Amino acid sequence: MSFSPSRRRLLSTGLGLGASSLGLRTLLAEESGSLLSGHPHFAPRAKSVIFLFMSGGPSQVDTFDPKPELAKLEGKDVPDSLAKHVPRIQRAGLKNLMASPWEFQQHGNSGIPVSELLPHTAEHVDDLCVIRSMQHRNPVHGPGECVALTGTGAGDRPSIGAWSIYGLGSETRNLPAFVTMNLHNDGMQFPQAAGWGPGFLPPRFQGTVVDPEKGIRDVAMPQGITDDRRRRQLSAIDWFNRRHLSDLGTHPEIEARIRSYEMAFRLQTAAPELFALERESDATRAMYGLDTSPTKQSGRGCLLARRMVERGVRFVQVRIGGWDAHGNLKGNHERMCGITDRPIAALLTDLKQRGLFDSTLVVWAGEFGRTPTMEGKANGRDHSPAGYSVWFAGGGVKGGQIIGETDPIGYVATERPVSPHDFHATILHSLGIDANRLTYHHHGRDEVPTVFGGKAVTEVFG
Amino acid sequence: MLLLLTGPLAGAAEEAAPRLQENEEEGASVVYEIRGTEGRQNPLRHSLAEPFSGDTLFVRFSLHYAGGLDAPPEDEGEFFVLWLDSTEGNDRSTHSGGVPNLGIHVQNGTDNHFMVRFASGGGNEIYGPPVTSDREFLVVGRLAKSNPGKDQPFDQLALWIDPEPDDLENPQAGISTDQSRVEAIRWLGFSTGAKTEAEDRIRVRDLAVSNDWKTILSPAPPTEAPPTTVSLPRPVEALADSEIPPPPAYRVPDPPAEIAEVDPPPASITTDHWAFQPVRRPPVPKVRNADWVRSPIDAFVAREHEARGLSPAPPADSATLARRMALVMTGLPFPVETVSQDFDAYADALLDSPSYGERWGRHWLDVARWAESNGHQHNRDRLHAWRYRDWVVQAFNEDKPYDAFLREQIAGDEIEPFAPENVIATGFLAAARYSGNELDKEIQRNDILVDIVNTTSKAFLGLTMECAQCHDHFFDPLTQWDYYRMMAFFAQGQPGDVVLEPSDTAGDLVEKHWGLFENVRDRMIESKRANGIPEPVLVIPKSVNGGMTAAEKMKFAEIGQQLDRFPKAWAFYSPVTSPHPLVVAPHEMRWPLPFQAESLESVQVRYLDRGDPAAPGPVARAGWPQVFGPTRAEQVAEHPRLSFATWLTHSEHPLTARVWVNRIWQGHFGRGLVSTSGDFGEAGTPPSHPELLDWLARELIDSGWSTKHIHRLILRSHTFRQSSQFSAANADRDPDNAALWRWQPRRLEAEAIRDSVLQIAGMLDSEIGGPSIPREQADSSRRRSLYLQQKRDRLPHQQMLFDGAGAVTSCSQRGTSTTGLQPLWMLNSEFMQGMATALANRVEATDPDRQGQLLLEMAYGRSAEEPEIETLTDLIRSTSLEEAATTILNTNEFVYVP
Repeated sequence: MSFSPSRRRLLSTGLGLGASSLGLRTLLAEESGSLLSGHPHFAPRAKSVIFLFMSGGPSQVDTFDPKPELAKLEGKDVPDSLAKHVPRIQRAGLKNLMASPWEFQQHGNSGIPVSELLPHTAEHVDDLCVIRSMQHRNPVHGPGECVALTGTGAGDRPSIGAWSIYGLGSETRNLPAFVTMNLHNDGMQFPQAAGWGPGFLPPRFQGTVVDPEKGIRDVAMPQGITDDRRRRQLSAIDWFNRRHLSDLGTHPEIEARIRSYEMAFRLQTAAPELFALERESDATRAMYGLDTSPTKQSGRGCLLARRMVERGVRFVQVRIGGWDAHGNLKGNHERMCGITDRPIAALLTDLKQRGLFDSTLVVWAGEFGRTPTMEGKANGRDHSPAGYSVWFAGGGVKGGQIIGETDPIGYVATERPVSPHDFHATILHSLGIDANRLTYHHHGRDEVPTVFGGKAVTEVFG
Repeated sequence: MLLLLTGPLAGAAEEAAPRLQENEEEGASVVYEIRGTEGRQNPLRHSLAEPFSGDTLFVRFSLHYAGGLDAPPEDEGEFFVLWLDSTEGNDRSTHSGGVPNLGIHVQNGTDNHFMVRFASGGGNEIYGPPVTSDREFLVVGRLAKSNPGKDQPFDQLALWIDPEPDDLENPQAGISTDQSRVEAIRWLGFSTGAKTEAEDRIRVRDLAVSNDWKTILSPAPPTEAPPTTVSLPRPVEALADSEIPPPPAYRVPDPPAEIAEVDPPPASITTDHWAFQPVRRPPVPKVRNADWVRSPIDAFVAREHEARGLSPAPPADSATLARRMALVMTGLPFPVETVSQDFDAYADALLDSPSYGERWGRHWLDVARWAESNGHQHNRDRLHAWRYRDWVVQAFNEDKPYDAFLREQIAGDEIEPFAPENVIATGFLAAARYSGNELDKEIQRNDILVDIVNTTSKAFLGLTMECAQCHDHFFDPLTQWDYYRMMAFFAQGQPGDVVLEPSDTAGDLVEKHWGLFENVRDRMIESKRANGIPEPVLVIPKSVNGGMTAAEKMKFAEIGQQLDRFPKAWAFYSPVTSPHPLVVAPHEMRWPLPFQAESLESVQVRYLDRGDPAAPGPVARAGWPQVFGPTRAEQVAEHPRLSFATWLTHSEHPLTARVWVNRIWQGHFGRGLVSTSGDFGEAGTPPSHPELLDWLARELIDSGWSTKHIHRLILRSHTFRQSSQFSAANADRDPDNAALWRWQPRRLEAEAIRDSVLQIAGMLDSEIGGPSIPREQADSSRRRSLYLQQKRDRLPHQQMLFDGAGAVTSCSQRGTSTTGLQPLWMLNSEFMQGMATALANRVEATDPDRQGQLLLEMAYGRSAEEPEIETLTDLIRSTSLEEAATTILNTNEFVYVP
C-alpha cells in the first residue's frame, strides 16, 4: 500500500494554489478582520452591482425589442423559414403570432426604441446598453432562475453575487457584503434560494435576505434593552470569551466569533439607519414613488439598493416577481411596468445625482423572455429562453447602444448570442474580475464562475 | 413476414442469391404494426441466410403509415427507415453512419418524403415522393457497388415507390456516396426515431430481397390474418457472462440526431491509490508510552506522537469530559439523569440513551441530503418522509449492523420477506430532488438518477462520482461509463408515497383515484380541443380538481380520506425488481413520472455525452466501477440494488468500512482520519493514521458491523479523553493537531446549539419521532431541532444561520462560518429571549448573591470560579437576571464542545 501522492496530484495541488490566489487573499483579509478592499485582476469599472432581477420573464417584444413584423403576421403561424431555427424545446409554440399591444418610440440621442410601457426608463436610454440576444435553453422558472443567477439549472453552484464577494470581499464592516431583497413573491415563481446561495463556496459568501419592510432579521434589541445595557452584555461576553480563549492557545474560529459580536453590534446601529427611509427628502421619496401604491414596494427596494451601495454593500439583488404573463399579457405587463418603471428610473437618476452611477453597475434581466406567439387562446405569451433582452447601465457601461439581434419576430437570437455565462462574466468584468481566473478549489477541481466557459461581452463597456 | 424469394443467379456473379433467414414463426401473411416510443427503436431485425457481398441487391417491402403521420409545422414530422448492414446491432442501434437507409424523412423541415441516405442529417438525404397515410406503398430499393468486388463497399442506393416493371432505369431517388462502410449485407431491419410517437402506427409486410428486378416486383400472396403488433421496446437482454464492460477512454463523438452503437473492446483499470487497496488488520503497535494506551486506538496515536516528538495533553477533568461525551454522543449537555464518574459506564449510558440516535441520526441525514419536500420550483411537501428520519434514529439506537443499515437503504423494497421498515429505509434513495414542473421526462428521470448516483457513491464509497457524469474522473480510476453503469442499478425504480403494506383495498382506491382524475382531465382536454386550443393541450392537476362536478369532488375526497388511513412512507420502490406488489399512493405533482411497471421496465440508462440527456449514447448495463473488477450478469440480474448492496458490504470491500469508521471518527473529533470524509479519492486527503483507519475498519467488520463497538473503542481511549490544553512545543511540530496531541474544541452544530439552549432553560420537550413540526410552529416549538420540518429552500432560519446541511447534495462535513448575523439571533431573537427568561426563572428563587454562580454552573456544567461569579453577578446587578442569562448562553464556552 502506498500513501505517497501521485505526480498528478502534486501537479494539481500546485495549480490549485496558484490559481486560487485571488480568492485566497480575500479570505485572509476577511479573517484578519481588516477593512477589506478588492484585489481585482484589472482596473475595475464598478465597485458595486445592483441586479434588478425581473422574475417570471418579461417579454422582449413588448419592452426593448420591437418587431413590427409581428403586426403583419398577427394570428399566423411562425413562418417555416424562422420556425426551423426555433430550438425544439418544450413550450416553444409556433402557432398564432401575436403583435405587441404597445407602441414603440425612439428615445434620446441614441434613438433606442423603448415600449410605451416604460416611459421613465426610456428617459435614461442613452445610459443603457441593451442586449437583445440573450439565449439559453431552460424554459422553466425554477431552473431558469438558477441558470440566470448561478449558471446552471441544478441550483447547486454559487450565485453570481456570491462569486463577486468571494472575489472582492466587502467595502463595509457594518453591513453584509451581499444583500438580496425578494419582492412580489406571489404566484408560482418562488424565489430560488440558489439565486443568492453560496453553492460550494463557504457559507459566509451567501447573500443575506432582507425584507425591505422589516429590515434585517433580529436586528432590533428586545424591549427595554438599551445600547448601554447591551454594551455591558457584550463586554461580559467578551470577558468570558477571552478567558476561555486563553486556555486554548490561538483558535482563529473562536477569535472570529468574538469579532462577530462587534460586527453584530455595528449592524444593530447600521441596519436601522439603513432602513430609515424617512430621512430621505420628500423629493427623493416622491421620485421613487414611495407613497403611491403601485410603486411603493419596488420603490422601497430600489431606494434601499441605492442606500446600501452608498454604504459599501458590494452586491444588491432586487428580485421583483410577477412577470409571468401566460394569460392577459396586456394586464400583466401594464401592472408590472407600472410597479417597476418609475422606481428603476429613479434609481438611475439618484445614482447619477449622488455620483454613484459610474461606480455602480445596474443590471436589468429576467430568467428568460417570452414567445412572440400567443399561448393557447389566453392573450398571453409562454416562456422563451431562445432570445430575450436585458440591459446594463452605470459601472463603465457605454450607454445608448444595442448589442445583438433576434430574428424578425423576436423569437431567436440571431446576432451575437449571449449566454448566461457570458452575462455573468460581463458582470464580473465590470468589477475588475476575469471570470476565468477567479477560482475556488473544490473536489479536486478549480471551479470558476462561468462553468461552461463564459466570455465577457466587452463591447458593453465600449 | 418474410417471403423467400430467390432470383435467378446474376450472370457473372458467383455470389449465391440473397435470401432471408427462415423463421418459422413468421409467414408471408403477417403484417407487422410498429408503434413509436419517441426514441430510437430497432424492433425488427432480420438476417440473411448468408452474408451477401455481390454487386447488386434489391430489397422491397410494403409500407402503410396507418396512423399518426404528422408533418411540420404541426409537429416535427416523421422518421422511419429500413437499414441494411453487416451487423445486427441491438434495439437502439441506429445503423446510420455509412450504412444504407431507405425510408421516410422530413424534407426541408416541411413535409415527409421517402428518401435514401448513407449518413444522417446535413443534406445527406436524397428525397423521393411524399408520404401520405391514406394507403400502402410498395417501397423498392437497389443497393449496388460502383466498383464490383467482394471487398468493395456498397455505395449506391436507388429508390422506387410503386414501380412498374419498366421503371428500372427511372428510380425516383438515387444517391452515390464515398461514405459507405458496408461491403457485405448480413442484417436488415426497421428502425424508428424520436419523431415516432406512441400513437403512430406503421404497418410493414412483404420484406424481401433479391438480386433481380423482376423477382423483387413479383407480388406477395394476399394477407388476411390480422396484424401482429410488435410492441416496443423489447426488454433488454441480461448482461452475458462474456460481455465485457466498455473501456474508460471511449467517447461518443458529437452526437446528435442519430446514435452510434459501439462494441467496446475490453479494458482493465488498475490503481495504486491507497483507498482501493485491501483492508488488512495491522498489528497494534508497541509504544514507549505504554501507560497511555487504554484502547488499541491509543497505541496507533501514540506511535505517531512518538514519531513526531509530540507529547499528549493531560487528561481532561471530569466535568469537561462528561460534557464533551454528552455533547458528542447526544448533542445535549445533560442527556442522562446522572453522570457516572466511571466514564466507561457513562459511555454505555449515553449509547443507551435515545438522544444518541437523534444526534447521530442527524449526522447521517446530512450525508443522505434528506429533506421533506421535492425541491426545485414547486417544492411540494413530502408528508410521509419523516418515517425515514425515524428509521435512521431507530437504526442508530438499536445498533443496526452497518451492512444491514446500508442494504436496507439501497434495496429495502427488494429484500424478502417484506417488512415495512425496509421499505421506509429506501427513503435514502427517495430523498433525491424531484422536479414536478418538468415536461421532459428524460431530463426529469435523469435528474433523479444523477442525484441518487452522486449521493450513494459519496455516502458509502466516499467517492466523488459526480465528476464522471460528464467526463472520465480527472483523478480517480472512475470512468464516465462507470457512472452510467452505476446508474443502471437504480433505473427501474423511483420515489413515491408507498403504502406500507401490500393491500388490494389500497390498490383499488389508488386506481379509483386515478380513474376519476384522468376521466375529468380527458374531458377537460377534449373540451379545450373543441375550443380550438392548439396541441399539446395540457391540464394541470389543480385545474382538474377545479373542473370536477360536485359529485366527483365528493367522491374524490372520499377516496382520499380512505387512502389517508393507510400508513405510507416517501420511499423508493421498483415494481419491476421488488418481489412485493406494493401500492404507490398519489402524491400531488404537476407532471409526475409514470409509476407503472411497464414504463419502468422499459427505462434504459444510456451513456450520455457530456452528461446531456439530449445526447444519449449506447445502453449502459448495471455494474460497479470497473476498477473493482468485472460485474457478472447473474450477480445483478434479478434484484439489481440488492446485488449492489451485497457487493458494497462484502467483507473485503476496500472502501465501505473505511468510509464508515472515518465518519464515526469525524463525529467524535470533528475531523476524520481522512479529513475529506466524502472524498477518499486522489483529490482527497490521505489518512493521518492509515493503519488506525484500517484497524478500525477491520474491527467494524469483525464485530458484525457494530457502530456502537467503534464508539466504545473511541470513548474509552486516552486520545478522546485528552484535555484541550495548548502546548507551544507541540504546536511547533504539528500546528494543525493532525496527530491528535490534544482535544480540538469545536463549535456545536446549529441543532445542538438550539437543543442545548432548550435543555438548559428547562424547556426541552424530549418526545421522540413522529411527523415534523410544521414551519409555522418552528419558532414556538420546544422539541429537538431534528424534528423541525425540513423543507428545501425553507430550512429553519437558525439551522441555516449556523451552517446546517443544505439538503440538496450529500453533506459529509459541515462548515463553521462566523457572521454578524449569528449574534443577532443569539441575542435578540424571540426564541432566545424566551429561553433566557425561562433560564432566569430557574434561578430566580435563589439568593441573589448566588444567582450568578448558579447560572454559570447550570450553563457550563462545572463549578464556577470566583472571577467568573463576580463578573456575572455584576452584570445581573447592572442589567437583569434575564440579560445575564442571555449573556451566558452567548459565550463561547456554552456553544463549544469542550
